[in-house]
Amino acid sequence: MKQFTVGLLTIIAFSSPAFADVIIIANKNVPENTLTREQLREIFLGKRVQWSNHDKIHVATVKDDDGVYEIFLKQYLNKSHAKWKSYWKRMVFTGRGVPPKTIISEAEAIAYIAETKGAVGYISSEGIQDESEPVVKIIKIK
Amino acid sequence: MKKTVFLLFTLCFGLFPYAHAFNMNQIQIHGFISQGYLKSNDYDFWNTSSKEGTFQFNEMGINFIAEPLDNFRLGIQLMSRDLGDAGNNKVIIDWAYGDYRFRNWLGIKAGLMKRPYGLYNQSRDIDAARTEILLPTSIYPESERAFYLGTQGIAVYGILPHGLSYEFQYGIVPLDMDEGFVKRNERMMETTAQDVHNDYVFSYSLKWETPLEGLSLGFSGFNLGDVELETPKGKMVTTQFDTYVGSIQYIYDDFSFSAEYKIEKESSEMRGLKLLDGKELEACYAKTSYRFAEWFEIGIGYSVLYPDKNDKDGASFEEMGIPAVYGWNKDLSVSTRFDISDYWILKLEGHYMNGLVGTTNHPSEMGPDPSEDWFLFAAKTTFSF
Repeated sequence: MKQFTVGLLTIIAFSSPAFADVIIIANKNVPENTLTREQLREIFLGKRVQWSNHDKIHVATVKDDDGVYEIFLKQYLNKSHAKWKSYWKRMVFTGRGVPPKTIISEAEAIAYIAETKGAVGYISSEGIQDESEPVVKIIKIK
Repeated sequence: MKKTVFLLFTLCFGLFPYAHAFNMNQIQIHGFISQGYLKSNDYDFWNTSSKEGTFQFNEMGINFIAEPLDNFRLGIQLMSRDLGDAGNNKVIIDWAYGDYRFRNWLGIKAGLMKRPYGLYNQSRDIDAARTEILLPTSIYPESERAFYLGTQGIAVYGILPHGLSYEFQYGIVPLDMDEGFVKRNERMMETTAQDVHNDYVFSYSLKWETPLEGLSLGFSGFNLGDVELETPKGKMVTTQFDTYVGSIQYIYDDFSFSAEYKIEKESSEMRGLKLLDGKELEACYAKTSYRFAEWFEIGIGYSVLYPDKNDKDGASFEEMGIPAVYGWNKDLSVSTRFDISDYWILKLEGHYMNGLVGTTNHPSEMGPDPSEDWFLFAAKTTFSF
């Protein structure tokens, strides 16, 4: 079962075209299994704030040293770090939103998302833990 | 102000009986301090003494935001700004409102909030959020800044399918005696205003994130009810102020491009005499920027303003004995931004101007044939957290 899980996650990680390096993960209570790129962008820019079951979306970004943050910004949001920073300054200083929670390691991100209802974030494909019972769900981006 | 506080308390305790006290760790605090310098060659820029060089150009703000419930956010921002004789670093409430998001497609706000006009109106005082120091004054004027800035009232907003989003606001414009609109009219009428107030403002904003990733289109505007300015010389009433702006923006990675076009209609009268009768202003700009490195970005922009779109050569000014060059303003700008850290930036900017809209020297000081070309240099540093 363990080998199957690892194998399945490996296939998922490397079969999605273009974005194999970054995987979107969410709390297991999140009702969605897939999101469009537009919906994912709306979530991380604070415009879409509820899942389809009306639970609040809690967004987490991982800012570690391995570059997954920059890859995520470029591949999913088409933004550089500078543009991302400017965007959230606009939101904060006009009262329209607060920045996503920043977490400094993938292990902490997985733990936070696993225990927070409605949480969503991203990790590298290497960050997926080798467990028989995954603690988070992978969201497919279409 | 009293109405704002009342609305906020009603939202907190009347609509949410299960709201509970929360600790200080749940409150986010952010702030910024910007200090700038302006220097022009032949004329003074807006309300400043830029011909001599001036440091009367700054903004400071601090805000407190909390989310005591999952779908409810409450916040307040205090701010102080100075641009020449406008603002004068008086501490004001910049915005203060409660925001309840019922669904993705419907949120409700109440209090004092920024108006969603154009691409940059809501963040016009946030230097850290853009490349340039000065926004195109053709679309974001300093003279009627107060008309554009905020609404004290209510709003509904949300996102819709296929990349659409909307916001509608209704309330009044919170006008202040230190605003550029009041100061400009005091100078023109050579008097001191006693009071200023507005009947209502209705504003709207529609935006579409198109299927081409990074490209968005927008249409926004607002309609003001009567704005009354009381002076010892009589009451001046702006009876019509309608503004419409179309926007396009493209952002891809470190590259951005934006352009906007505005039409504005204004009528005013004093003691039964018509001062302006449906005058139509026309303005537009285009600008682009590119970030060459994590610490360096450069932007170029071109902006055009005609206070009267039916008089683009200033003939009506000449008939009044005022130089025709007051009939337009064309502004070519180059901006540089240096990100010293995530919390500290420095900007340097130059504007090559043609036309005297935006200068505040009295026409009688100009002589019969003033130069239509002038230059403005701006520098600014901002700390934010």
